[in-house]
Amino acid sequence: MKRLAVLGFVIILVVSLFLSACSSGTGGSGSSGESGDTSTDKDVVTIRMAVSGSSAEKALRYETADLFMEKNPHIKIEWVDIGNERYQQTLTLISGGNAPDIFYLNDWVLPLAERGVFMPLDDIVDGDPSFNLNEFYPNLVDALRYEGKLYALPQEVSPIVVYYNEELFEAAGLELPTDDWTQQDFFNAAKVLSQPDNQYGYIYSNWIGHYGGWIHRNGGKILVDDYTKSGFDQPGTLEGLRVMRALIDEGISPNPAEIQAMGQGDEAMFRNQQAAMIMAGLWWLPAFLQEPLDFKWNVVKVPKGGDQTTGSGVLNWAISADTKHPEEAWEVLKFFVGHEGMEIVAKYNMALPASTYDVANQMILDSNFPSNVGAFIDAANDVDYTEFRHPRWAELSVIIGEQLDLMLLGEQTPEETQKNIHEELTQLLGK
Amino acid sequence: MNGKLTSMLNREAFWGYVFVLPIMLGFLVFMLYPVLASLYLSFTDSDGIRQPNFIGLENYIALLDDRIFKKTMINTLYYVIGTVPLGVFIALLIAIMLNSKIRFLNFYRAGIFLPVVTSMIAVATVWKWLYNTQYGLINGILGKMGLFQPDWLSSTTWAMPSIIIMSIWKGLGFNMVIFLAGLQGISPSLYEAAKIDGANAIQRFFHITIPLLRHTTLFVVVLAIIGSFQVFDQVYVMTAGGPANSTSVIVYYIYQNAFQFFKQGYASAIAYVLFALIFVVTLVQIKISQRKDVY
Repeated sequence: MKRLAVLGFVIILVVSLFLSACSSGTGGSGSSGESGDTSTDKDVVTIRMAVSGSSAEKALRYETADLFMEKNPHIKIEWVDIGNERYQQTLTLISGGNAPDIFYLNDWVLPLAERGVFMPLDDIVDGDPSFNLNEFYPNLVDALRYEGKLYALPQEVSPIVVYYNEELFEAAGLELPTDDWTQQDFFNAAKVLSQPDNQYGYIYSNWIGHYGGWIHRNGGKILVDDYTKSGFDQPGTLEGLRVMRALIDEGISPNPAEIQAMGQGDEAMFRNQQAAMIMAGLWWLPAFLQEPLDFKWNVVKVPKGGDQTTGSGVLNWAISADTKHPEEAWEVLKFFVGHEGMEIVAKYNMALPASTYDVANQMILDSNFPSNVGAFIDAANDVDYTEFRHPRWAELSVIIGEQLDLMLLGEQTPEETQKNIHEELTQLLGK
Repeated sequence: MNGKLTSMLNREAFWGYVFVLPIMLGFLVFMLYPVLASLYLSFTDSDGIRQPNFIGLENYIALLDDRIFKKTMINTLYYVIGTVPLGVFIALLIAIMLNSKIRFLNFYRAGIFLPVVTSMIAVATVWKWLYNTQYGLINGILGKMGLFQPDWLSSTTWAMPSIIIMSIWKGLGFNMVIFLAGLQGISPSLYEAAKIDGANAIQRFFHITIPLLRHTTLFVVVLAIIGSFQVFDQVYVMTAGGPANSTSVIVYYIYQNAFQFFKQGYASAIAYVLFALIFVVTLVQIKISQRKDVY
């Protein structure tokens, strides 16, 4: 009898150890996730919503959710923190059959929509008179359609502009840039502001937000034919590549390897006055507000080539195709991207509301941080979302990034780069 | 009725199984099942989301045509050839030096072993600064001595050697400890006898130490090769595969395919190619070492 008790104890111990190992493996949401699904409380529906980003960014989401729950006591929002490896965690949740009701998404709406992960929103949007899709930037919403159907809605957009150090401009006797400055003006200023070994005019970062802008502003295209084919055979694309190469050759920007070797982000280099200009969305504003820069600075739109096309960061939300509560999930989503949600976005001032809703945008303007903060809002209509347009963008970007690296390191000419990228993209997209 | 149960509980074997159950469950669920599942996935077009379709050898055939796969394969071989022979040889030399009776012996041993127990992520982050072209300690010293200052992580030529040098330093302590254990298993009487026969230090090293350390060396080399083929952390931290994919290695490419390109089937196929490669290399080594096993 005593032995039986010991055996029982050992088995319970082993099983519970094993189970606890399992649940800690799936992340902190394990136990609470189950209670959400099997909730017997008839009136309260739990919506599991993914969240990611800095602590300030999460605070923004929590505040929005609290306000929503206060107004909608029958819906409870439960957070699923997907950490910083968002791709990986989202994919793991889906594969494990544990997808949240609402997804947190940046640029990979299409690949997941293609795989049937999301609920199409068209019917629900059309059938809800309290929701106005026309308030959103059309270029943004278009990028979230796959085969004609809408799969996600944007909450935040963060168009890329130029941050510049006013004092360095003044010390060099340069006129301060204005929103209609040209690429030539940019080069002229950047050259004066570059000093060998201790100061760069600008920091080029090798990602779509930067190279997409330079290529598009010079009349080029990354993808053509409704984003199905390589645009690297276009003369404008070559021109864009030449301009990027000139940034390095003329000593305006360090090359990608030098940036890697210096081991600091462009924000740190701007702060240390090692870089007179950087290009970024609104994401540096909270850091510059919290720990002010010890010099005068401002922002200005990206310089004009043929036009002023720029890149951007975007936050989108989508509803899972497997959700048990599509209506409640829609209520949550609608609130986040609606007027109240957008006002909270504007209050935090680290991204623009992704809609033209005037009260929220006025709040951004009123922040007056920095004084030309309106440049961000102006730039929102000029954003190109090529990276949203192809379901295999992640693969394409590895090829483009590698070839651009080689070009910027001086190991191949812009012409060779154009040819190599065009051949590889054509081969990949042809499949 | 109760008798049967009691006799079962009395059997030693039964309790043996109970005690190995936790580790066995862990092994079955977290090792064996994934290994078998990924073998199956390597024959499918799995994207991690939709129901996978069986496509036979298509993934393996596609690999033959994949330029980036070839590049990561070459980079990985470069890394293996760069780290293993040099890393093992230096570890052996240090082990022999630290096998003698010198002052502060344990201090040196601990110092060389320290990097092994340090997190790779932390080490790689520190080395990234040491390698800094302009402000790094290494180029600072080279500059003071008036020597050539490479671009280290910045150039496609030097990025891989930089990672190799750091990895050798990081793994040295582990190899050294194994060699030390091997050295201490060699009976001093052999050296004494050799000395009496008039063998000098170099002869003793090549005719006693090296042959008697053969099994230790095999063990160290096999582990070093397996570890080197699976290099990932230091690449992820120090260069993220750059510049221009010059340090992109196989495991990094597996990660990209599985978690960024939605190609888990393809990633599994690469993983199995890597497995086959390691398996063959290890087999060859064991075969070589089994010749004239007389010591």
